[in-house]
Amino acid sequence: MDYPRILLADDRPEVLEAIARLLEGVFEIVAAVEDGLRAIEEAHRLDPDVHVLDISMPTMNGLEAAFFLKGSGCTGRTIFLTVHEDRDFVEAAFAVGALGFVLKSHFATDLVPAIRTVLLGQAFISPSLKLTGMVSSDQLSRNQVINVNRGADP
Amino acid sequence: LPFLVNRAIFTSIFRRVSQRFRKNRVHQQEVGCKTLKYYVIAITMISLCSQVSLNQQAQIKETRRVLVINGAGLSAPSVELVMREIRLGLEENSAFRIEYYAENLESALLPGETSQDTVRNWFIFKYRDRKPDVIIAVGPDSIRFMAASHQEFAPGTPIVFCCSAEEQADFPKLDNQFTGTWFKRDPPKTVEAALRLKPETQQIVVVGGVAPFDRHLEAAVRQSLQDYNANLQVTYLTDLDIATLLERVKHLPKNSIILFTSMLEDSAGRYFDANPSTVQILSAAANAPIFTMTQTLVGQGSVGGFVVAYSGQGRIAAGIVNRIFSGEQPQEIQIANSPGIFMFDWRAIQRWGFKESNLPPGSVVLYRQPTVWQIYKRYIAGFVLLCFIETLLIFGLLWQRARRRMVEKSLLERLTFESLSSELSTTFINLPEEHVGSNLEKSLGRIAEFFNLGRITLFEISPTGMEFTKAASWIDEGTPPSPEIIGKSRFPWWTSHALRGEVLLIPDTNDLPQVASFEKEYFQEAGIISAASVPLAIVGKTIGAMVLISIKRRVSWNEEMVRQLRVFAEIFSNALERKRITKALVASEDFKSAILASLDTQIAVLNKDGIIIDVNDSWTRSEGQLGFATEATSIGTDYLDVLRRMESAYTEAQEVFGCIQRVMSGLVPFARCEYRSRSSGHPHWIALNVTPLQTAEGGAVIAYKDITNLKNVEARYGELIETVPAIVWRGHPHAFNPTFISRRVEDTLGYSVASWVNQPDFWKDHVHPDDRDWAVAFTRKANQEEGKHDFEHRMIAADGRTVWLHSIVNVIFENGRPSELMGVLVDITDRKRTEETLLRKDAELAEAQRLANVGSWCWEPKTDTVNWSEELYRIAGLDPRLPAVSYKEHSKIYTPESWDRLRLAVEEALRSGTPYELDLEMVRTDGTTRWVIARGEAQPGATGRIEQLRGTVQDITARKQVEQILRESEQRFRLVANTAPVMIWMSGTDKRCTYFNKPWLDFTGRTLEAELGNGWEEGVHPDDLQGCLHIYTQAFDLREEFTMEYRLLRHDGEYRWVEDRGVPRFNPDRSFAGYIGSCYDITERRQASETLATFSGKLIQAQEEERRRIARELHDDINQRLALLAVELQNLKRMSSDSPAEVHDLIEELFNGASELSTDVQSLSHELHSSKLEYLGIVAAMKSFCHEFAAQHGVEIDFGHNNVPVDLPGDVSLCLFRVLQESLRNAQKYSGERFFEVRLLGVDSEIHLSVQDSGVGFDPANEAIVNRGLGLISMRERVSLVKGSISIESKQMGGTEIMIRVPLARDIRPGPKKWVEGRGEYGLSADIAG
Repeated sequence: MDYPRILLADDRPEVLEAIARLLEGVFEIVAAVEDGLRAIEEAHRLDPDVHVLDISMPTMNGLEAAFFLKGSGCTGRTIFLTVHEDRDFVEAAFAVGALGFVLKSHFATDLVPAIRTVLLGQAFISPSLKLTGMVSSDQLSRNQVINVNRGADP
Repeated sequence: LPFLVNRAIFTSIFRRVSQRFRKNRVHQQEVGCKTLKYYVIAITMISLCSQVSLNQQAQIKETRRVLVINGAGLSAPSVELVMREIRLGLEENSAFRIEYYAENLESALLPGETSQDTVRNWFIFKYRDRKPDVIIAVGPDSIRFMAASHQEFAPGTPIVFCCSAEEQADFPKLDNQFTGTWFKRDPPKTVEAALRLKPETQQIVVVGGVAPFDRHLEAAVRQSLQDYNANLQVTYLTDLDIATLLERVKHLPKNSIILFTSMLEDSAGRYFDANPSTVQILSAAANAPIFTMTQTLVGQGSVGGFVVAYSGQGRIAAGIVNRIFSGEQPQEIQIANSPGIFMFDWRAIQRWGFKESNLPPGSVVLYRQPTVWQIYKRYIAGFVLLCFIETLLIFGLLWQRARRRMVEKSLLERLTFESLSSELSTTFINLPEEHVGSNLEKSLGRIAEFFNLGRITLFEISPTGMEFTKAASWIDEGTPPSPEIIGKSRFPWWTSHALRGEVLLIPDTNDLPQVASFEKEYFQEAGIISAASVPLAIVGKTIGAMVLISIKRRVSWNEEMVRQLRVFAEIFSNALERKRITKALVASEDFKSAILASLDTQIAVLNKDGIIIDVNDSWTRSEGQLGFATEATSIGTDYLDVLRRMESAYTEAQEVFGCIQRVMSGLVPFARCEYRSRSSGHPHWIALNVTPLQTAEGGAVIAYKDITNLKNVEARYGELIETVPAIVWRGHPHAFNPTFISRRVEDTLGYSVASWVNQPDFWKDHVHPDDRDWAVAFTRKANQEEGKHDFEHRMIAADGRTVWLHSIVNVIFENGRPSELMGVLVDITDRKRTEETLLRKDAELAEAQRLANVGSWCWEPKTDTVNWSEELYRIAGLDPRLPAVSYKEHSKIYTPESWDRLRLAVEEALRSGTPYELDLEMVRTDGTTRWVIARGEAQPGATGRIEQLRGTVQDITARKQVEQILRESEQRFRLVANTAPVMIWMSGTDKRCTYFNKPWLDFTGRTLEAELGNGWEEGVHPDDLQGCLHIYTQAFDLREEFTMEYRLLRHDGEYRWVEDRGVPRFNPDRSFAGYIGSCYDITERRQASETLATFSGKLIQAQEEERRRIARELHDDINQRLALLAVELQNLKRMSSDSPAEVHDLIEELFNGASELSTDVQSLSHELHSSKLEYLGIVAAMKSFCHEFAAQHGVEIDFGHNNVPVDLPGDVSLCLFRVLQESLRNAQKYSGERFFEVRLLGVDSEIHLSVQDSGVGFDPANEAIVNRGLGLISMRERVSLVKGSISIESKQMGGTEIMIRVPLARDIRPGPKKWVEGRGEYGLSADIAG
């Protein structure tokens, strides 16, 4: 049985390392890149199941990357892993097609459940933000169009 | 259907053939035989065809046998009804040919078991070979019979039954081949209906027989009447013989009704084959109404009731049979119940006096008998109509007769009137004038008789036109005579109306209005009851009135009468007018003859042949001697012949003859000739006028007049003219040469009379060229206007002199056209010369007037006499009473230099007559000097030598002084201008520069000449020149001040920025004089400010950079590291799950601390630099900021945005964001308001940010406030960095609005579309969302 395939993008190598450590043995990390542009390239090449993106990245930030990923037909689900705790960022993340929003300070506890949740086609927001109910069903269904095309879940 | 059609065709053809045959047999037997042959052939063929189709039909249609078995005989009414319905029902619908078999059980006659068996055996035998397809059992007996015999008689044949109640047939046991319909009897309904009709009923008598069926019905009734027992008494007469029964029903108690069931057998054992007859007998005998429950009994004397309806039973049975024929099994067909209906006999209802309205709803009433009216209403209506029409006819005829009589009467009257009027007309037409008067009276009498009036009078309007005089009158006996004169004094009302030609109708004189009081008085005195006045008129002109009076009776003066009166009035008018005209004609003839007789002109009238038909007295007296009448000429003489004969002796006779001929032949309308006659002894001048005779035949009137005297006078007149000291002339209006001109013209102008008269346009050609055009035009115009015209003009005389002439022309008109000109020319040359002299004198006078306030002088050098005007004394400062200063003494009153010039000028003037004009400086006695202008000119005397000098002296000291001041002032200005440190220029009213000061010329290094006019433009930087000229021209035209900056080329070849300020300048009289401008070199100033701007911009940029760097550092580095730390702590916590609780708690605490630290760092970073602005765009950032700001400071902020471009450049976003932050902080601090409005709008190629409050406001001009905390300054700097503008509108207590406008460069890098939409919603842009 294949592990779900994950793409990581964060401009800080130590963060990438920490995530890789965390996900090891649970998911397959197909790529770990340091900016948004590279993330788009790799996503197109590898077609991962989930993209875990930081927002603050040089060259192209995470929000822009997610927007292009969705616009260019990538079917993988997107999770933002960020230090931005503001509600506006959560809204923006879902507006560009993400299904998950995980705070960096809580990724040890939240990231794995977040990946599992989005693989099921459901939204995930770090519980410490207390914003779980904020994503409208309408918004979610728009983001979930991907699921239908993708076929069976792992 | 084809079969039927064929049959029909056959029948009709046969009928026609036989008819034809019969006819032809009588009349045309042979032809008939022939026709018959054709018919026979046709019939044969058709019948063959018919036969074929008939056979085809027979083969197609199958046969079905229907056996109808009924209990009673066919004679029973109900059976007959049912049978008919069955037949109809089967024929309508069946696709089969039906064979009917009817059998009668005669059960009433053959009761008993044995007879039934016999019948059954008979049937079995009878139908052994033709087994029926269906058996219809009609009635209870048949049903019972078939129930018992089915298996033996016709096993398997379907049985359809009807016309029986189930109980009536003893509830037979039916096998499954049976189907049909059962009656439902309902005796209570009949009783109910009976009680409705007869509510007072107390007793019900049930009548019936003893036959099983009778008993059965009785039982049913008994059972159903149990409910009525309480209220009604029920008696059963069911066990009686018929005779007893009849006796009983005759004497039933009051308020009884009979309910008849059935009586097929009485107690005496007597059978009745049908109930109807029984009911007839009973109803005839009974004293109570009989109600029944069977349809067939209605109409037999019974009233009726709720009956079983036989009608319809047959139809139902036939329907069931049809269903069986179409293939249905009998056991599939449900046995139906047939309900009854209410049915009554109208006659019985009438007999018992029941009300129809009491019948139950839905009742059927039979045997209704119509009333007499219903039967005969058409006849009655027809009769009445006939009577009515006849009455109308009678009345119509009566009316017609009355009308005819009236018409006859009026026709008679008309006839009388018309014969009277025509008689009168004819009377007057040919009546000699002298008889008119007497005839008038007679005629009036006839009219009075016709109208039955007392008096008729004709009045004529008197010559004065103010009153009426009596012309004729007719008076009946006993009627007072009419007044002779009717005038305004006596009858004002009547007179004024009658004079206007109005018809006056007074049916009753008592009714006259108040204005007619005089007339009313007269009428009453004379006893006049009715009166009328009809005008007498000729061609619309009133000449009199016809007045009609009645004293005996009232006359209504109806329309017809007035019309007739008008006809009579016309006849009388004509008569009177004829009388008047005849008189006038006679008078006119007399008058004319008198005039002609008094003339000394000899006149003769010739007819068209030249025969004299009339001559005047003068002719007669002189025997026509003027007209060549050497022989006596009188009426009847052929005058033309006389003339012809005279021709040889007198040549003038030929001329006369020609005149007459020309007129008589119509060539000319008038001919005149004058000739010297020798025919009458001594010479005479004779004039002849010939005019045509205006009659149908034609002819001429010739008039001879001796004009010898006239000719003599004319000759003398000519002599007279020659003595007049003026030129007299006569001429034709259209010619410019006279026909006559007096000889004096030769003396005046030197041209001969002959040349004047003979040369056309002579006058025109010799008019002075300067006067010719207008003089010719004037005369042309004047010659068309009657009367005298005069004008003055010059002519050139034969010797070349110019001669002034005063021309007076009298234009003589004849027949409305100018016919002749008579004129006088007076030589006025001398007068003109005098006038010119006078004019020159006037000019001198005018000049003197023009020189008012100017001294004038006059000097005669010969005598050295000098005259000074008072003004001159004043100018020279001398006493006017002293003698004027002599020429020689003039040296004393002028400065030597002036005197020298004056002397030279005077000497020159004396020598050559040259006038002079000099500016001289005069020295007054008080030592002051005055500037004067001295003018002088020489005046030649009669001899041509200069005898006099005259001239003026004008004081111009004041002007000189002003000029001096001006000159000095200008010199001073130029001095100042040239020494001033600024560059100065001046321009005139034509925009061209007239002056540049020295600094300007030093600056540009060019000469004044090069710069003047538009030369300065060469030094302006080419990029700035257009703008400069535009500002200059615009301001110049509006006379406004202007300031402009441009680059001007310095002498060293460097362009320097100058600020040029121009103001309009005006003359002392406030008229516009041009512009004056000053320039400064502002290059340094500009450079300084530019440097400053760049510098502060850089400062801000650096500050922003630094902020962003720190924010990034905090956010991306510190914060991330903190996040990692938190993760590590969590990992640690998870790994040390089995550690002591203290360790666990410590780790938890550390984790929380790290999280808090991370949050704080993030907000610090955010404050330094908005990450939202960077990642989410300006709208999200501003919205978020407003939200946070509002929450932080407890205020309300309304943030709105529209049309904000998504790809706003970063510096613009940052600038706007910072400005917003600063503005809101200021607003919150100083406005005192709690509500702010923020708007971010994209407008065309600009973006606008406005921050507004409605607080206390401030004065934007107050620097101290504006620079408060450097907030506004830094805002300005930021905005200027992105080339935007900032405006602050604030009023004390009126709120403040800060408005920033930033232009967006057109060339914004298109780039990839940003993911955040400009509308600020976090939605995807449309193309991606889809």
